[in-house]
Amino acid sequence: MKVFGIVLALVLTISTYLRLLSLTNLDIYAISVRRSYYPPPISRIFQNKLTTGFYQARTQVFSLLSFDYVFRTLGYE
Amino acid sequence: MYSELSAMNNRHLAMGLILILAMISRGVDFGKTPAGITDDESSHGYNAYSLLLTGRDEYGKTWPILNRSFGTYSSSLYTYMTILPVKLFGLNPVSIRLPSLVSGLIFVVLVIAALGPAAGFVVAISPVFIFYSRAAFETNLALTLLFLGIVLAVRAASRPKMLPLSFLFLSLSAYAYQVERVLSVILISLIAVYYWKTRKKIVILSLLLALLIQIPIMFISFTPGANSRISTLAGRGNYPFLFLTYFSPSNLFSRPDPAPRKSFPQVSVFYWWMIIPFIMGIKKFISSKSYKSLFGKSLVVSVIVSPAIAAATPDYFSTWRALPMFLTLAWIISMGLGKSKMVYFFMLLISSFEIYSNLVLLKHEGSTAWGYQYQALANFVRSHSDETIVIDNARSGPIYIWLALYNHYPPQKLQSMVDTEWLKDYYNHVEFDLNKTIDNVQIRPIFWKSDALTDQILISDSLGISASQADEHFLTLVTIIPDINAQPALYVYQTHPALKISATQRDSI
Repeated sequence: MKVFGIVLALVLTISTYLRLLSLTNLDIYAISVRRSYYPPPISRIFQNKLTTGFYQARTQVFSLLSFDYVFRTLGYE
Repeated sequence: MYSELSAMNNRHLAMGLILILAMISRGVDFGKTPAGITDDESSHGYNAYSLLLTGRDEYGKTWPILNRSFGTYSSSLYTYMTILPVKLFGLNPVSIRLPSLVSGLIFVVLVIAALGPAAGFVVAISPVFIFYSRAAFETNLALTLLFLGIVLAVRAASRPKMLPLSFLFLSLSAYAYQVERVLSVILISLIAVYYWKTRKKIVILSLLLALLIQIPIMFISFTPGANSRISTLAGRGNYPFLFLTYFSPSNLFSRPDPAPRKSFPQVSVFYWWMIIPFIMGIKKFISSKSYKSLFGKSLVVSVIVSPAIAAATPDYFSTWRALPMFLTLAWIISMGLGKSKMVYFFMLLISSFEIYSNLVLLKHEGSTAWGYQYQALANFVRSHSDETIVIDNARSGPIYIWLALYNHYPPQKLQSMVDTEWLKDYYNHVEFDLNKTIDNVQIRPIFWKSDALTDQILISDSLGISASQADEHFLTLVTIIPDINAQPALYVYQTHPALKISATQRDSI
């Protein structure tokens, strides 16, 4: 299980790094809009390129663990 | 003895801290996050108000077993539980959501008492349980009643008198939400079989009590109203696929519920990192044979039956229908956590970060979906009671209920719109017309051919009345009703029939 945890952490880290490099202008704009929702002193902690990149990476990695993916891969809908 | 006392004190301290944690995560900015209130919540609140004042619901039905609501015939227990908060605190989002909050906190206490502090901690911080305690969700109340019933059933092993109480609460859960109508019967049967050989007499007594409580709901079970949800939703999806989605790691640990009013924006049922203790917990769950106890059997039944029912509807992964199964999964996660205090500390830190962020995003990005704009709309309607107002409902739910809620319409006003013959057949009216006319307000689609030629106020979103349409029909903008981020949600226009008529005449020459 530790191995699984380490692999997951590694995959997420690499994926986050790759996502950070490919954030679009729309992503950057969304970060700035979302920052306005938080109190100014802490907005940058919660909304920044790292959190956005990580969220996208997490979604992408876990989508490989979804049964929808398995179904589609096997040709079922 | 000293070490026993010390362990007990530590346990009580842990329980107290977990409960405080649950209260903070569920209670911070309560009533304002989510911002706004949905039509279903409004229906609970207004019907509670109506029952409080008149002993009848909005349609004039005395103490209904199911609320007709919008033709969907929702379970009524939550509405009845809202009567006292409405009486004490007035008709507002806080009082409407209070029963769900209290249910959620009682649920945490029950989990701590029955499954241990680790399970209580997982339930206290898990997004799904926090979310459903922050708004008026019948499923949350139903889950608490169901689990209380299970806890009492387990306690009945040493205290037999708990068994009738157990069946009482299990039966009550059937009045709280549709899924529990089936799940409670299965659990009652399971528990009855479990105790049959050792406690036959009390099992029979408990079954009779359960039957007595369930008679009203059984009495109306074959009416169109009682089956309206099943008949409109069942059998419209790929069942095996939909069933398996409830066990998909992506849906449980990463992807939020796709329904905009059923989840935080960026977290799933559980946090993504909980997949690790979950996998570890499965191993312990199997090796410790926890599934063989009555608790284990009951929770295994929940984890199979609730998604089995939810999958009968075409909604992809509806967390509100499958809520009971997440308790079992939370229990399994807690088994994989271990005992290291540092682990719990880091989990608390990370979960606090994620929950705070998601509360902010939920408030700001979900405000329109949660009907935030309807309070300002109700205020506008109240202050323009001498003008004809048309509210476009082409893309909205039953707007009348928000107006009734925020403007505290006298229940008799809505009740008088229903005749007594219609009421006699109360549980047979699944049809529902979103169009309503109440005093000076008409809630319906806009018909440009006639509406532009009538002196009135038109209210719609930007899709209903575009800028070019406003120009074309000589409308002047009276005001804009914004969402919580000050972005336009609804536009209020005044018609000018004289200008429109003369322009039309000019064009025809």
